[in-house]
Amino acid sequence: MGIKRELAGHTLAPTTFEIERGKIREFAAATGDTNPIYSNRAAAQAAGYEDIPAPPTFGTVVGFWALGHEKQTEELGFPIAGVLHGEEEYTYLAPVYPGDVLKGQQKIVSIVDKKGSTGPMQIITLETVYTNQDGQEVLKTSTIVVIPESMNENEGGNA
Amino acid sequence: MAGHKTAAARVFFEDVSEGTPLPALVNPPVTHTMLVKYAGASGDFNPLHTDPAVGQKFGLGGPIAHGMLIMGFLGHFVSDYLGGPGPLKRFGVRFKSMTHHEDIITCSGVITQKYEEDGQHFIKANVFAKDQTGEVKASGSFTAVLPTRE
Repeated sequence: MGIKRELAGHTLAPTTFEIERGKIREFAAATGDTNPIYSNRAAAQAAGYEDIPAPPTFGTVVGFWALGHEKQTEELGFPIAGVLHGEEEYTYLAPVYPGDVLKGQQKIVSIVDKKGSTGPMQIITLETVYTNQDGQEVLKTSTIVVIPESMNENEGGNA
Repeated sequence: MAGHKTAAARVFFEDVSEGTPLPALVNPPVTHTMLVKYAGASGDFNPLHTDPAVGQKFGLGGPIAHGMLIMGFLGHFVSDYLGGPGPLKRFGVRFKSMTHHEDIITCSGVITQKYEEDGQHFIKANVFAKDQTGEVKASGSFTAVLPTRE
Protein backbone atom coordinates (compact mmCIF):
# COMPACT_ATOMS: atom_id res chain seq x y z
CA MET A 1 0.00 0.00 0.00
CA GLY A 2 0.94 3.63 -0.02
CA ILE A 3 2.44 5.46 -2.98
CA LYS A 4 5.07 3.90 -5.20
CA ARG A 5 8.61 4.56 -4.07
CA GLU A 6 9.80 5.08 -7.65
CA LEU A 7 7.78 8.32 -7.73
CA ALA A 8 10.55 10.00 -5.72
CA GLY A 9 12.01 12.72 -7.92
CA HIS A 10 8.81 12.88 -9.98
CA THR A 11 7.49 16.34 -10.82
CA LEU A 12 3.77 16.85 -11.25
CA ALA A 13 2.42 18.72 -14.26
CA PRO A 14 2.34 22.46 -13.44
CA THR A 15 -0.99 24.14 -12.73
CA THR A 16 -1.99 27.79 -12.66
CA PHE A 17 -4.14 29.60 -10.11
CA GLU A 18 -5.39 33.18 -10.23
CA ILE A 19 -5.36 34.98 -6.89
CA GLU A 20 -8.82 36.40 -6.18
CA ARG A 21 -9.60 39.02 -3.55
CA GLY A 22 -12.71 37.14 -2.39
CA LYS A 23 -10.64 34.02 -1.77
CA ILE A 24 -8.14 36.01 0.32
CA ARG A 25 -10.96 37.49 2.42
CA GLU A 26 -12.61 34.08 2.83
CA PHE A 27 -9.35 32.42 3.86
CA ALA A 28 -8.42 35.15 6.38
CA ALA A 29 -11.91 34.90 7.91
CA ALA A 30 -11.68 31.09 8.09
CA THR A 31 -8.50 31.38 10.18
CA GLY A 32 -10.14 33.99 12.43
CA ASP A 33 -8.09 36.89 11.07
CA THR A 34 -10.30 39.98 10.78
CA ASN A 35 -7.47 42.42 10.02
CA PRO A 36 -9.01 44.76 7.38
CA ILE A 37 -5.85 44.58 5.25
CA TYR A 38 -7.15 41.16 4.08
CA SER A 39 -10.58 42.47 3.04
CA ASN A 40 -10.34 46.19 2.36
CA ARG A 41 -8.04 47.59 -0.30
CA ALA A 42 -7.87 51.06 1.27
CA ALA A 43 -6.88 49.57 4.64
CA ALA A 44 -4.21 47.46 2.94
CA GLN A 45 -2.83 50.47 1.10
CA ALA A 46 -2.81 52.52 4.31
CA ALA A 47 -0.65 49.74 5.80
CA GLY A 48 1.81 49.98 2.92
CA TYR A 49 0.53 47.20 0.64
CA GLU A 50 -0.31 47.67 -3.04
CA ASP A 51 -3.57 45.78 -2.57
CA ILE A 52 -4.93 43.21 -0.12
CA PRO A 53 -2.04 40.80 0.44
CA ALA A 54 -2.14 37.00 0.60
CA PRO A 55 -1.97 35.94 4.28
CA PRO A 56 1.09 33.97 5.50
CA THR A 57 -0.40 30.50 4.97
CA PHE A 58 -2.36 31.32 1.79
CA GLY A 59 0.02 29.09 -0.16
CA THR A 60 -2.01 26.15 1.08
CA VAL A 61 -5.05 27.49 -0.82
CA VAL A 62 -3.08 27.63 -4.03
CA GLY A 63 -1.70 24.20 -3.27
CA PHE A 64 -5.08 22.57 -2.73
CA TRP A 65 -7.10 24.40 -5.36
CA ALA A 66 -4.41 24.48 -8.06
CA LEU A 67 -2.37 21.33 -7.51
CA GLY A 68 -5.15 19.58 -5.71
CA HIS A 69 -5.66 16.64 -3.48
CA GLU A 70 -7.54 15.03 -6.36
CA LYS A 71 -4.52 15.34 -8.59
CA GLN A 72 -2.28 13.87 -5.92
CA THR A 73 -4.75 11.04 -5.54
CA GLU A 74 -4.94 10.45 -9.29
CA GLU A 75 -1.28 10.93 -10.21
CA LEU A 76 0.36 9.60 -7.07
CA GLY A 77 -2.16 7.32 -5.44
CA PHE A 78 -2.53 9.35 -2.25
CA PRO A 79 -5.35 7.92 -0.14
CA ILE A 80 -8.42 10.18 0.08
CA ALA A 81 -8.53 10.42 3.86
CA GLY A 82 -5.48 8.77 5.37
CA VAL A 83 -2.93 11.53 4.95
CA LEU A 84 -1.58 13.30 8.02
CA HIS A 85 0.37 16.54 7.86
CA GLY A 86 3.81 16.44 9.45
CA GLU A 87 5.47 19.74 8.60
CA GLU A 88 4.93 22.82 6.46
CA GLU A 89 7.43 25.55 5.61
CA TYR A 90 7.08 28.66 3.48
CA THR A 91 9.85 30.76 2.01
CA TYR A 92 8.48 34.12 0.84
CA LEU A 93 10.26 35.58 -2.17
CA ALA A 94 7.84 38.31 -3.32
CA PRO A 95 4.38 39.59 -2.31
CA VAL A 96 1.25 38.01 -3.81
CA TYR A 97 -1.77 40.19 -4.63
CA PRO A 98 -5.18 39.75 -6.28
CA GLY A 99 -4.87 39.34 -10.04
CA ASP A 100 -1.54 37.56 -9.83
CA VAL A 101 -1.54 34.28 -11.71
CA LEU A 102 0.66 31.71 -10.00
CA LYS A 103 2.08 28.63 -11.60
CA GLY A 104 2.94 25.85 -9.17
CA GLN A 105 5.45 23.14 -9.88
CA GLN A 106 5.42 20.37 -7.32
CA LYS A 107 8.15 17.81 -6.90
CA ILE A 108 8.22 14.67 -4.80
CA VAL A 109 11.57 14.99 -3.09
CA SER A 110 11.56 11.76 -1.14
CA ILE A 111 9.48 8.80 -0.05
CA VAL A 112 10.71 7.06 3.05
CA ASP A 113 9.25 3.94 4.65
CA LYS A 114 9.37 4.02 8.41
CA LYS A 115 8.07 1.95 11.27
CA GLY A 116 6.17 4.16 13.69
CA SER A 117 4.57 3.41 17.04
CA THR A 118 1.31 2.51 15.30
CA GLY A 119 2.88 0.43 12.51
CA PRO A 120 4.48 1.02 9.12
CA MET A 121 4.12 4.43 7.49
CA GLN A 122 5.36 6.39 4.51
CA ILE A 123 6.91 9.81 4.99
CA ILE A 124 6.68 11.92 1.85
CA THR A 125 8.46 15.23 1.30
CA LEU A 126 7.06 17.55 -1.37
CA GLU A 127 8.52 20.83 -2.59
CA THR A 128 6.61 23.36 -4.63
CA VAL A 129 7.83 26.50 -6.34
CA TYR A 130 5.30 29.15 -7.33
CA THR A 131 6.08 31.62 -10.11
CA ASN A 132 3.92 34.63 -11.01
CA GLN A 133 2.80 35.94 -14.39
CA ASP A 134 6.10 37.83 -14.75
CA GLY A 135 8.16 34.70 -14.25
CA GLN A 136 9.19 35.88 -10.79
CA GLU A 137 9.45 33.22 -8.10
CA VAL A 138 7.13 34.31 -5.28
CA LEU A 139 6.85 31.36 -2.90
CA LYS A 140 8.50 28.07 -2.08
CA THR A 141 6.80 25.49 0.08
CA SER A 142 8.12 22.38 1.69
CA THR A 143 5.57 19.86 2.94
CA ILE A 144 5.99 16.62 4.81
CA VAL A 145 3.02 14.27 4.91
CA VAL A 146 2.67 10.95 6.65
CA ILE A 147 0.60 8.07 5.33
CA PRO A 148 0.15 5.41 8.01
CA GLU A 149 -0.46 2.02 6.44
CA SER A 150 -3.32 1.31 8.83
CA MET A 151 -5.24 4.37 7.66
CA ASN A 152 -4.38 3.76 4.02
CA GLU A 153 -5.90 0.28 4.09
CA ASN A 154 -9.01 1.47 5.88
CA GLU A 155 -9.88 3.89 3.14
CA GLY A 156 -8.92 1.71 0.21
CA GLY A 157 -5.89 3.54 -1.21
CA ASN A 158 -6.30 4.74 -4.76
CA ALA A 159 -10.01 5.43 -4.47
CA MET B 1 4.68 44.52 -13.45
CA ALA B 2 7.61 42.71 -11.96
CA GLY B 3 8.63 43.09 -8.35
CA HIS B 4 5.79 44.05 -6.05
CA LYS B 5 7.00 46.31 -3.27
CA THR B 6 7.19 44.77 0.19
CA ALA B 7 5.32 46.55 2.97
CA ALA B 8 7.27 47.36 6.13
CA ALA B 9 6.53 45.89 9.55
CA ARG B 10 5.02 48.05 12.29
CA VAL B 11 7.58 46.86 14.85
CA PHE B 12 11.01 48.42 14.72
CA PHE B 13 14.25 46.48 14.95
CA GLU B 14 15.46 48.65 17.84
CA ASP B 15 12.40 47.75 19.91
CA VAL B 16 12.89 43.99 20.04
CA SER B 17 15.51 41.93 21.81
CA GLU B 18 16.26 38.27 22.14
CA GLY B 19 13.88 36.79 24.70
CA THR B 20 11.10 39.32 24.02
CA PRO B 21 7.74 37.46 24.08
CA LEU B 22 5.18 38.16 21.34
CA PRO B 23 1.64 39.15 22.41
CA ALA B 24 -0.34 35.88 22.73
CA LEU B 25 -3.44 35.18 20.62
CA VAL B 26 -6.28 33.11 22.11
CA ASN B 27 -8.50 31.64 19.41
CA PRO B 28 -12.17 30.74 19.82
CA PRO B 29 -12.92 27.03 20.54
CA VAL B 30 -12.63 24.78 17.48
CA THR B 31 -16.09 23.84 16.16
CA HIS B 32 -17.40 21.66 13.36
CA THR B 33 -18.55 24.82 11.55
CA MET B 34 -15.04 26.28 11.80
CA LEU B 35 -13.56 23.16 10.18
CA VAL B 36 -16.16 23.17 7.40
CA LYS B 37 -15.44 26.86 6.69
CA TYR B 38 -11.71 26.21 6.68
CA ALA B 39 -12.18 23.22 4.33
CA GLY B 40 -14.02 25.42 1.84
CA ALA B 41 -11.61 28.33 2.14
CA SER B 42 -8.47 26.20 1.80
CA GLY B 43 -9.72 23.51 -0.55
CA ASP B 44 -8.65 20.75 1.86
CA PHE B 45 -11.68 18.46 1.84
CA ASN B 46 -10.00 15.51 3.57
CA PRO B 47 -13.05 13.96 5.30
CA LEU B 48 -11.01 13.35 8.48
CA HIS B 49 -11.77 16.99 9.24
CA THR B 50 -15.37 17.37 8.17
CA ASP B 51 -17.06 13.96 8.34
CA PRO B 52 -17.45 12.82 11.96
CA ALA B 53 -17.91 9.19 10.86
CA VAL B 54 -14.49 9.12 9.15
CA GLY B 55 -12.66 10.53 12.18
CA GLN B 56 -14.31 7.83 14.32
CA LYS B 57 -13.49 5.09 11.84
CA PHE B 58 -9.78 5.85 12.01
CA GLY B 59 -9.88 5.79 15.79
CA LEU B 60 -8.96 9.45 16.15
CA GLY B 61 -11.74 10.19 18.64
CA GLY B 62 -13.87 12.11 16.16
CA PRO B 63 -12.98 14.70 13.54
CA ILE B 64 -9.60 16.38 13.82
CA ALA B 65 -8.78 19.96 12.83
CA HIS B 66 -6.72 20.61 9.72
CA GLY B 67 -3.08 21.02 10.73
CA MET B 68 -3.08 24.01 8.40
CA LEU B 69 -5.91 25.62 10.39
CA ILE B 70 -3.59 25.57 13.39
CA MET B 71 -0.79 27.01 11.23
CA GLY B 72 -3.39 29.53 10.01
CA PHE B 73 -3.99 30.57 13.64
CA LEU B 74 -0.22 30.97 13.98
CA GLY B 75 -0.10 32.93 10.71
CA HIS B 76 -2.79 35.28 12.08
CA PHE B 77 -0.75 35.66 15.28
CA VAL B 78 2.46 36.44 13.35
CA SER B 79 0.60 38.80 10.98
CA ASP B 80 -0.83 40.70 13.96
CA TYR B 81 2.65 41.13 15.37
CA LEU B 82 4.24 42.23 12.11
CA GLY B 83 1.29 44.29 10.83
CA GLY B 84 0.72 41.96 7.88
CA PRO B 85 2.57 39.32 5.89
CA GLY B 86 5.01 41.70 4.15
CA PRO B 87 7.98 41.41 6.54
CA LEU B 88 7.93 37.58 6.58
CA LYS B 89 10.79 35.76 4.88
CA ARG B 90 10.29 32.25 6.19
CA PHE B 91 7.68 30.53 8.34
CA GLY B 92 7.64 26.85 9.18
CA VAL B 93 5.92 24.57 11.66
CA ARG B 94 5.89 20.94 12.69
CA PHE B 95 2.57 19.40 13.69
CA LYS B 96 2.87 17.66 17.06
CA SER B 97 -0.57 16.40 18.04
CA MET B 98 -4.16 16.41 16.83
CA THR B 99 -6.73 19.09 17.62
CA HIS B 100 -10.37 18.18 18.28
CA HIS B 101 -13.67 20.05 18.60
CA GLU B 102 -13.85 22.41 21.59
CA ASP B 103 -10.05 22.72 21.90
CA ILE B 104 -8.97 26.30 22.59
CA ILE B 105 -5.72 27.08 20.80
CA THR B 106 -3.44 29.78 22.16
CA CYS B 107 -0.61 31.07 19.98
CA SER B 108 2.54 32.31 21.66
CA GLY B 109 6.09 33.08 20.69
CA VAL B 110 9.42 34.55 21.64
CA ILE B 111 12.18 36.35 19.75
CA THR B 112 15.22 34.09 19.60
CA GLN B 113 17.63 36.07 17.45
CA LYS B 114 18.17 39.52 15.90
CA TYR B 115 20.88 40.20 13.37
CA GLU B 116 21.94 42.28 10.37
CA GLU B 117 22.76 40.76 7.02
CA ASP B 118 23.34 42.50 3.67
CA GLY B 119 22.09 45.78 5.14
CA GLN B 120 18.78 44.24 6.28
CA HIS B 121 17.61 43.78 9.86
CA PHE B 122 16.29 40.33 10.69
CA ILE B 123 14.53 38.74 13.62
CA LYS B 124 13.90 35.07 14.26
CA ALA B 125 11.21 33.86 16.63
CA ASN B 126 9.90 30.53 17.88
CA VAL B 127 6.12 30.06 17.85
CA PHE B 128 3.81 27.59 19.58
CA ALA B 129 0.17 26.62 19.34
CA LYS B 130 -1.04 24.95 22.55
CA ASP B 131 -4.45 23.79 23.73
CA GLN B 132 -6.23 24.51 27.03
CA THR B 133 -4.22 21.77 28.78
CA GLY B 134 -0.89 23.13 27.53
CA GLU B 135 -0.40 20.33 24.99
CA VAL B 136 1.61 21.57 22.00
CA LYS B 137 -0.33 21.14 18.74
CA ALA B 138 2.24 22.80 16.49
CA SER B 139 5.56 24.54 16.97
CA GLY B 140 7.93 26.25 14.62
CA SER B 141 9.67 29.49 13.81
CA PHE B 142 9.69 32.46 11.49
CA THR B 143 12.20 34.93 10.09
CA ALA B 144 11.19 38.50 9.27
CA VAL B 145 12.81 41.73 8.15
CA LEU B 146 12.12 44.75 10.36
CA PRO B 147 12.51 48.45 9.59
CA THR B 148 14.79 50.63 11.70
CA ARG B 149 13.88 53.97 13.26
CA GLU B 150 16.41 56.11 11.39
